[in-house]
Parts: sequence; structure tokens; C-alpha cells
Amino acid sequence: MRFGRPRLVWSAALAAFIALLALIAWQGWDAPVEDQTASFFAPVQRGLRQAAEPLANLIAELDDFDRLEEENRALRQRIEQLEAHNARLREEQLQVRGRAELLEVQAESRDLLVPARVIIRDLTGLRTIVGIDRGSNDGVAVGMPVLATGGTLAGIVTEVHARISYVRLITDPDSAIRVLHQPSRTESVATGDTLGNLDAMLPWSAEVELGHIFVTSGLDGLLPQGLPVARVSSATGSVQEAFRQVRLQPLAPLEQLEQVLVQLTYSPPDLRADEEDGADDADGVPEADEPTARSAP
Amino acid sequence: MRWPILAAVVFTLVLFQTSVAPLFEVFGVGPNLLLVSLCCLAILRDPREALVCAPLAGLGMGLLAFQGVAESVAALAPIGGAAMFWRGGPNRPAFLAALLLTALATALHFAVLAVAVELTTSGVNWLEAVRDVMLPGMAVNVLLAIPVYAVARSLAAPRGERIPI
Repeated sequence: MRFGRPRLVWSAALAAFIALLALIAWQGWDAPVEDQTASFFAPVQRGLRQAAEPLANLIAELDDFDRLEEENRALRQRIEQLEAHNARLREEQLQVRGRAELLEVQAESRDLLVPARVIIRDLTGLRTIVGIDRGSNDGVAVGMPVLATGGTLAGIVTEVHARISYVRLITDPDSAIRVLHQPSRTESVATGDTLGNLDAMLPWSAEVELGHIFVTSGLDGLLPQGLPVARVSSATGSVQEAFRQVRLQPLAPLEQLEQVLVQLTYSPPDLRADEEDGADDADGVPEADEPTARSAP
Repeated sequence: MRWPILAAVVFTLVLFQTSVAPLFEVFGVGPNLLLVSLCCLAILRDPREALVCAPLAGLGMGLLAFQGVAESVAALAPIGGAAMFWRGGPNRPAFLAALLLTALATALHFAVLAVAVELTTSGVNWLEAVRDVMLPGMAVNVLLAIPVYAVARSLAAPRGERIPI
């Protein structure tokens, strides 16, 4: 291949051009031109870069898909762990707060109250009976009142085992409590219904208003007097009727009951034992197979 | 009319190369679309175009990429030289020639710039530079040359119309 004249000319011209540029650069004469050119085109370059960045990022992510997927999986796992940890901490906080409230009630009361955790809950929706983690080993006995964290009546112990007990809540359909309308001092019986409320009948002479409080009357001797039970949520009936139908809402948060207090110092009088005592007066010997758990109120 | 268009194309490519190309790194290096386009131009079109466009592109790169005007022109100049020697024809594998020229031009481009850096700084670690910059750059540019060649060929005049020097 012959190195023709035009090629030679071009090569020489190019070499001279490069040499000239090198000389200019060496003298530093190119700096102002470079600065001016760069500053003039900088916005264009920036615009192009910004326009291309999303596409570049997308391609980079596609290129790194496996690593991103792995990272995503690890992050999801971490989130799950942190959520579980957070839930545990929140749960502990609630437990501590509940304990503190119980201790506060315990300190204010002159009675001996033992805290208990609700461990069993009736899921049929037909009964409102709960199981607590205290039993006869802790001094719990049938008939003892069970209070919510605020010191309001939650229910009555109906069955006792060594380590656990069952409590019939005041809203259970089988529950019937002698109550007192606090403002008028009118006595009534509050019975549970299946909707989580209590029903009571009051004479028209009692001025009933929404929010009025009912407390235990203690007249039957099954419960101590003055325990807050419920507040009036509605009252119905006409003056032609002898009594007014009053619906009560329990003061204790029975739906969210997690911790309770069992009032150990109160034990209802054993009426059946009195009867049996009367019957046994003849021989004076108690029955050998007498049950330790007394019947529910 | 073709010279202003060519100048505009080169200028656009320079802008693209100095702004967008670094974003699309492959094997750790950004593709050199300007160099690849010049190589395809040198093979497919009138060699005079490459003779003018290569130094012009070097000038643009020197001004906008702060890599030294003389070095930039010298780094791209071999493409114009290659265009002078290439003769197209029915039996000439132009595609392979474009790929080969791209690889060679990338290596020369790297060598010129590396020498410039060697002369103006405390030195270059050549082994690492070749391993981490030149070889990946060659691979990326050769890969990029495939689609660029296809586009350039569709835009270029038929082989027979090449004007030999």
C-alpha cells in the first residue's frame, strides 16, 4: 500500500494541529476558552444527564436485579422482625400499665386483692365466662367478687380449681346482681344479656338519667356493698307500666379484660351450709363428701 | 450541506458523550458512543468525513470534558487515519472491519490519554489501567458498535458511492 500525498498532507496537518493545541495548552491559553465553552454548555449537559438518569437507574437496577431481590427479601424479613419486636414491646407496655393500675387499686383498697390474668375466654358468644390464672392455691374461692383494673365489678368466681378459676362476668345471661341506683338509692336486680349489657327494672319514682351509676347493693350478702357496676345507657317504658326498663352498660371494660383483681377478703355467707348446719344439728357431724366449691350466686 | 449536518451530529454526540454516556456504565466503564460512531463513519462513509470529524470531535471533547484539547484530538485522530486506508468493496467485510477498528481505536484512545496522564501526573499504574479500563472499554465499545453500525449503515450511502482518496 502506497502512502499517498493526500494522506501525508493530512497526517502532517493533523500533527501540526495537535502540536499547536499542545502549545496552546502548555501556555495556558486554552483555559478561558474551555471555561467559556463548558459554562455555556453546562445547562445542556445537565439537562441531558437528568433526562437520562431514570433510564440509567432502571438499567442499573435490571443489571443488579438479583442483588436487589435478595436485599428486598432481607429487608422484608427485617421489617417483619421489627414489627414483631415492636408488637412485643407494645404488649409489654400494656401489661405493665395494666399491672400498675391493678397495683393502684390494690393500694387504695383495704381489702386483700390478688391480681390475676385472664387466660381463657368463652368464644361461643353465648356466655361471658372467663378463666383466670389464680385458683384455690392462691386463696380464691367460689363467690368472690372479681374487679376490673379500675376497681369496678367484673364478675363473680363460679368455679375454682387448684391453679385456675372461672369467673362469670356480670353480663352473662345467667348473671343476676342486686344493684342500687346511686342517685335515688332504689334497689333493683341487674341481669346480663347476650349483647354485653345489663337490664334492670326500676320504679317510675326513681328519676333515671343517662349516665347514672349503679352499684352493688349488698342486700343479698353475695357481694360487698358499693362496688361500681354499670351506668345507664338507655331507659324505656311508658307511665302505664309499673316499671321502667333500664339498660345498663358495664363500667368494667369486659370486652378487653386482660387483668383482674380477685377480692380475697370477701366471702359470701354459705347459706346452704347454714341450712345443712340446721339439718345436722341433730348429730353435729358435718358431711364427709361436702364439696369444697360452693355453688355460684 | 452535509458538512454542517455532520458537524451538528458530531457536536450532539460530544454533548451526549460528556453528559449521558457515563451514566450507562457496563463492566465498570462508560461506553464511548462518539468513538464508536466515528469508527462506523470511517468504514461506511466518505473517508474525508472521518478525516474532518475525528479531529472536530476531539476538539469538542477537549473543550467539554476537560481532558485536554491536544490529547483529545490526538486520541481520536487515528480513526481518521484508518478511514484513509480502508477501501470498501463487495468482498470486504465492512462489519468486521468496523468492529476491529472500534477495538483498535479504543486501545489507541486509551493509550494516548494514558500517556498524557503519565506525562502530566506522577504516573499511571499501567497494569491496572489496562485491566480495569482498556479491556472493559474495548469490550463495551465493540458491543455497542453492533447496533451503531446497523443504524449507520442504514443512513450511509451505498458502498459503491464511497469516494476514494
